[in-house]
Amino acid sequence: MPGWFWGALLLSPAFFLVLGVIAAPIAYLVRLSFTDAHAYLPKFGSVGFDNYVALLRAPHFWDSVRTTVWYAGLTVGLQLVLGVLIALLLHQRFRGRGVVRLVALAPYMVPSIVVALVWRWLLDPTTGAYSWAIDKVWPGSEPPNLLSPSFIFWSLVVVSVWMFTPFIVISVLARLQTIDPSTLEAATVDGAGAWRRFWSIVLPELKPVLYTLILLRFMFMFTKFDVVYLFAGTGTEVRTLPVLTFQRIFGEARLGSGAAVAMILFVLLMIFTTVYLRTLYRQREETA
Amino acid sequence: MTTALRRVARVRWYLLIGIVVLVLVNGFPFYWMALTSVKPGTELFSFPPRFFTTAPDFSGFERLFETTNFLTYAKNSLIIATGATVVSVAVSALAAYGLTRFPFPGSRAFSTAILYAYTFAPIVIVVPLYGMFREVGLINSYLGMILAYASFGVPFSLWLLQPFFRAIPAELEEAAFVDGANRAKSAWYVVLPQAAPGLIAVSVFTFLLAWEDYLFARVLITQEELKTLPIALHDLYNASLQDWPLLMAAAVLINVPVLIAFLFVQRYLVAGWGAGAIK
Repeated sequence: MPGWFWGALLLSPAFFLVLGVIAAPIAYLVRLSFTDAHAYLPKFGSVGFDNYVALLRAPHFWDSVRTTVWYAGLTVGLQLVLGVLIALLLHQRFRGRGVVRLVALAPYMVPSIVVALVWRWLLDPTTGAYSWAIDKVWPGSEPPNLLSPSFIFWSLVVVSVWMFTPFIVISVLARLQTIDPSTLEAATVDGAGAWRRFWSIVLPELKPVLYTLILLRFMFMFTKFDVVYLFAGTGTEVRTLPVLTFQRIFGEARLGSGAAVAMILFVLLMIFTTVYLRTLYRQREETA
Repeated sequence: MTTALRRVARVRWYLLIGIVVLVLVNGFPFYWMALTSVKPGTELFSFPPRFFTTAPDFSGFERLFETTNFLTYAKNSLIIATGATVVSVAVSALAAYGLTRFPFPGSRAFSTAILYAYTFAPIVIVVPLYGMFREVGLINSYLGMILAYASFGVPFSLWLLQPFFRAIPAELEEAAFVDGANRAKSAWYVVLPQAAPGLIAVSVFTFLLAWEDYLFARVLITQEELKTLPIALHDLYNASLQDWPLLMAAAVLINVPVLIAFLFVQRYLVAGWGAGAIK
């Protein structure tokens, strides 16, 4: 048997699994988005581009777009700055570094539902430990309700940054470990301070990783569903596009309309992934 | 000696502050979760809040086991996560071996397609999957859940495993052939042990993916006796009266396998995660 036959044979389980549970659903999604499908009705008919037109005309859709862009932009920006700082910190040598690294990575490992519940409990306006602490540090006329509609978006940003920064830390830390220490030592000997070494040596080395992280993480936060919904998404204050999709389909049972929102997310994802892969291959060619 | 010590102290104070702040910010929510799970009812709603307790009370755990189907949810989560891990790791190990040993026309295109699949968001897939699973009767079934999570584990695992398989020299296998082993035998006894760190890492990640997921379980499971832990916990939270010690007891217990997995793989974390997911 020729080699390619075995190659194809070994690949086929992965191929059929991905085809059956990812590719076929995408095809089904495309079809669904052009229908008036409803969860409780057996039949549905084609409606052409009606779902898309209705969405693009609805002001609340554009509110969702704005919320999603703000949410993804803010959380990615904060994660990057904090992530690089924490990675630099954990890259230093000190006693107990292993334990501190564990604590630093811990929030990323916890299920979203646990993060959402613990933080709602911490920020509870009447009994929450953090609400109490904020009121102590910054006494106002009355303790702020950080779960109220006017604060919930900002609380969600804090919780998301808390939860997802460790991913940046791990990625940056892995890259930091490949920087040749002798370069840094030579710079120190030449009289470069810590700040100068960071800007002139470390940051340029990190640039490719940071670039891919911005792309990948923006994509990830843009389509994040669980922590948004579980912590803040039950009302209408924080209705990002993924939450809107969920509400359309499982709240209102409007499969066709929800599929159209999901399709818009899907197209955006494809554009982002293509840009990401191009830069990835370009970086590889440059290093090769 | 003293001057050297003073110099270290001067250079390192900001490091110390950074570490303390990091540990507090990241650690406190975990401490609060554990503390709440054993707080007696009398201290629970005191304001200002009590930051420790002298009389730990395990009635939250008792109520969790007596008044809810916690063990059933845990069993469901365990079956689904284990099944998804086995399917996903077996399928992606085969594929990674095939891709690295028998390149064929289109294998590069396949790799690229897998990368696209890797970036697909669950919220995009779950919508049509719900429709399709309803038509073929995979709603409320272990098999449906296992397939759904495995399909998410495969692109990620395949992407992470390829460098591990590529790094195994072909000479190792050829040596086994000379000794009379066939390809299956050499793959099992020579290649797999070499790829073990990668296989362990992807097993843990796939297990956690399934163990922690909320969205797929919420949509694809509607029966009480098939609920997994995350959706069961959310339903307990949404009950009319929020029993915080019980909720936090459940949260503590959900985290037990997560903690074990975490300690188990942490030495692969920086190496494997950084190399596979980003490079």
